[in-house]
Amino acid sequence: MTTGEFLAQWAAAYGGDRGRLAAARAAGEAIYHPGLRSTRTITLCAVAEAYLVAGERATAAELAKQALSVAEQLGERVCEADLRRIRGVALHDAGELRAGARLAVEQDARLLLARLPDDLLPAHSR
Amino acid sequence: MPAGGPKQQALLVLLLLRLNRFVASDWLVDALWDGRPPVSGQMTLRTYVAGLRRALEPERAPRGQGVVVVGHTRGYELRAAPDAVDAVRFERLVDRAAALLAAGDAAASEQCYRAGLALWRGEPLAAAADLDAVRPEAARLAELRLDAEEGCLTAGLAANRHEAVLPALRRFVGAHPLREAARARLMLALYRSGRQTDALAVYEEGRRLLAHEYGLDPGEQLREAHRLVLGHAVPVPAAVVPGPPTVVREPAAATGPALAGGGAAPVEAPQALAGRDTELARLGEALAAATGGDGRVAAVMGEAGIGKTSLAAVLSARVATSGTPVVWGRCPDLGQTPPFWLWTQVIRRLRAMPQAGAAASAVPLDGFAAGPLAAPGDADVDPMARFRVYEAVANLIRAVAGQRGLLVVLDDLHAADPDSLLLLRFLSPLLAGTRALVLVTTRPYDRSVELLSTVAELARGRNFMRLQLTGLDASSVASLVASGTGVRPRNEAVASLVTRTGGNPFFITELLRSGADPVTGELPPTVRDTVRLRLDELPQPSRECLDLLSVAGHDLELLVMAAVLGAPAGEVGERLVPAYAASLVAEAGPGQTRFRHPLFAEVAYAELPPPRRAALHARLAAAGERTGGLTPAELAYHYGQAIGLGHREDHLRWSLVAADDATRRVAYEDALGHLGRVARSLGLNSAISPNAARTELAVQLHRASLLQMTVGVGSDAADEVCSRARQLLGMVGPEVDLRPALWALGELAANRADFAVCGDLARRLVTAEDDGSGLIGAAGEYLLGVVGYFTGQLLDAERHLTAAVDRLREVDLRLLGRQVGRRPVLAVHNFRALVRSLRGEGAPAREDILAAEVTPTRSTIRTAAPTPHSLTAGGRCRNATSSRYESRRSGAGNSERRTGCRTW
Repeated sequence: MTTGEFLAQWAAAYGGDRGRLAAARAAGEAIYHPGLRSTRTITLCAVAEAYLVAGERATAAELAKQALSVAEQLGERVCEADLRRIRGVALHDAGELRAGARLAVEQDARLLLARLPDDLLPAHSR
Repeated sequence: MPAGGPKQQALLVLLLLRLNRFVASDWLVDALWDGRPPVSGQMTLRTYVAGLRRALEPERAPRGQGVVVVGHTRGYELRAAPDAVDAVRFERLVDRAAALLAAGDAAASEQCYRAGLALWRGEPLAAAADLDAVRPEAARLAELRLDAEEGCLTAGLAANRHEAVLPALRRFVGAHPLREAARARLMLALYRSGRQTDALAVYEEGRRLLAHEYGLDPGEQLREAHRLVLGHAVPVPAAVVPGPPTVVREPAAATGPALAGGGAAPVEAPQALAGRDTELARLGEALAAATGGDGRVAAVMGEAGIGKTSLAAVLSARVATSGTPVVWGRCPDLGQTPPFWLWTQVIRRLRAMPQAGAAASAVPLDGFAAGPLAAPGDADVDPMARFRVYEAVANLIRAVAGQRGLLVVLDDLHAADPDSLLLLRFLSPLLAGTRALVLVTTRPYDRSVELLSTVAELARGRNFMRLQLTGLDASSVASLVASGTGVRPRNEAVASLVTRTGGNPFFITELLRSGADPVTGELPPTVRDTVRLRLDELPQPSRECLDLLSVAGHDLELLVMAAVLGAPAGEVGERLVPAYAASLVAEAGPGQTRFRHPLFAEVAYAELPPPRRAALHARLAAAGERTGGLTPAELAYHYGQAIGLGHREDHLRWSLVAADDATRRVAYEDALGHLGRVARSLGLNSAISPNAARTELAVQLHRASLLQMTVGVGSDAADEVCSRARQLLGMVGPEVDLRPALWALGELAANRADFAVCGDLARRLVTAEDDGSGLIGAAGEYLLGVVGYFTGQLLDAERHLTAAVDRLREVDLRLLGRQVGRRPVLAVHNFRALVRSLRGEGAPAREDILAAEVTPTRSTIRTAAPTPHSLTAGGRCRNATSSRYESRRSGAGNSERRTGCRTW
């Protein structure tokens, strides 16, 4: 039920309903209250992306930072490249974008590479 | 006035204590010298009498007849107006003050108490307090003084003078720290003075004191005050006058309902109830609103004996005459009942009603049927099963209530099992769309976390109503006494009853039945003492039956009772006759006996010496096994109470069966309770006994799968259990098949993001021999794929997930069909779709999604193959060792265990 609530809120927020951003964030956090750990970085990444799309860059960057910290702690690195991208875009930080690109290449996450500006990609990936 | 020397003063005291009554000289002599009078005792007594006469009647002529100390043949009499004696005046003022307080005139009551206390000078009867004949009276007066001081402070508090009485209350509690009523009042005074934390500190000090000094928990008054302070619910003085020191207990036994079988409406419901007109009117309004289409929950709360059940019974009787169905569920007096017992009684009754229609035959309701379940599946958990059951119950209530409304009474909710509470919480918001009123009764519940959260959740509902019952006022007490005795009591007697019982109707009824004189007699101090006296009056054979009944904790069939007592059922029936005559028990149904009130059971049980109690539990369990009259849960409970008599193995055996039975009935909390107790017991031996370790491993895995649903996927609670299970992997013997355990623990580790642990367990699975189904090998590859995905090693992830897909192709479709929707292994396509998507392989990812959707369709051929469980032919539970834990000799018990790795 909690996951369903999160997905519903997130889909609405990502679709443009800014009023649902906070609810999506809260629903996402609620999933982990009983102690679940896995997928947390994925949820945070999704919420950060929704904030970024809504133009709330500072919050997006902060959420991505929080997710990177969790990723480091748990070893859950599947979203690490995308989190770097979000921070890079939100903060206009080319270093973060380059780090994201490097990680995506290492993980063979070509989908993420496609989201990055071409000029930041390693030469062999363009 | 000089009254002479010490012995002469003592003589005056002895005569004053028997004012206006003849007192024998022989007794006076004995009393003056504590049974060892001198030879010249009688002559010396005459000297003292003469001395007294000189002091008290100075105008009397020498050798003239005394008019104050009057001489009789072989004795004397002290004559005076009672009001001339301070002790008598004091008692009258205190009685008057108590009556005023009970009537709500707190200010006048306080004045009256003060006037009485002002009469005191020094210690009571100090001149003779060391004499055996005087000591009890001196002690009584001293106690009465304390009561008066406490009453005075209570009255001051009730008069809204909390700040003024606070210093005196503090002094009083400091001097008498174990007087809980005073401590409770101090808490309320502090709270009203805006000092909530001080109030809580006072409670804590009292709690610690009771625990350290006497090993006791705080009594009901103190706990009630604590709850009020914590909940910011301390009533304003105008609304509530705190009762006198002794308060408590349940409905007047004469008016309590007997249930004709589980779920029936009460058959002995009284038509009227003293002093509860307002409450009945409010419940009537709630019922009218509910049957009008705005269903709701009402809660009647109050101390044991205060009349909750009687109130519900009167309402039921009135409702039944209008044609509205009424169904009751009652909790046990003591001990363990089958899973969902509270609702089971209700649902069985509802299903039998014609109004239920198709809703009665809903399959998910089969768990409420009597006897063990011969379900097609085994006892493994199904994440959706609980909701299907809850929905079916909601539909059933909706259907029955649809025509003429419905009243469901859930009596004694404080003793309900946790699954019954959960179901109530689920139903509560759904009632608004029905025509049903669910009326619950409960004692104070501040020490039960489950009940606290249940009531809190009910209270959040739009239509929730709470009714707090307090003691009866003087007028209602008089009515109650008159209806019980046929005689209108004197005001003095009523005031005394109010003071002594707090207006508790059950207490009053039992006092009257005990033959005590409320004005002049020595009254038992508490309702439990009163009940104890009533029980002690029974002949021994009758008492033995009641002892057994208290051990059973609820209704008991005569046949079971006879089997335990080793006597023919007819003879047992005869033995029970005095208990019926004394209104201590009632017929619960044909051949079934129950206590008329839970307090009878509680006191009878508490009075049993522990060894006899344990022996009765053991005998009851053994008889239950022989006759089939007890459920697995009851057998587990009774053997558990007899562990000291060598029944540990029986306890474990039946606890495992009970856990499986509860799981089948989706009573997961109940199952967890059994499993927790077994785990604690086995844990002591697992390090030295591979057999114990094997059973404990299965138990811990069963717990983990339940906790995943009841607490949460990947929850801390589940993780703690899994950690222990992983320890046990190294303790079991080599013959144990660990593959299912590796699988289950691997999934749980993935949920906790313990990727290293998950990877290790998965690699052991991959290298293990397959079990022939193909699932084990697929599971290992799947888990490695999951680890690869989460850790960002996408190439590895795709390789392992592809291997898992390949292995799944070898699995029998029927077996796969039983996995759909339950086993995360079927998420293998989903995970590979995620991995492929991230790798930019859109088309193959879409193929995986399609495959994930198709798999359930391909495998919907359901198997009818029997699954082993502990039930034998005929449906009775005979092989008490669950196959989950023994016969498969498997660490995880069942290769189909459902755990639920998150997949999104």
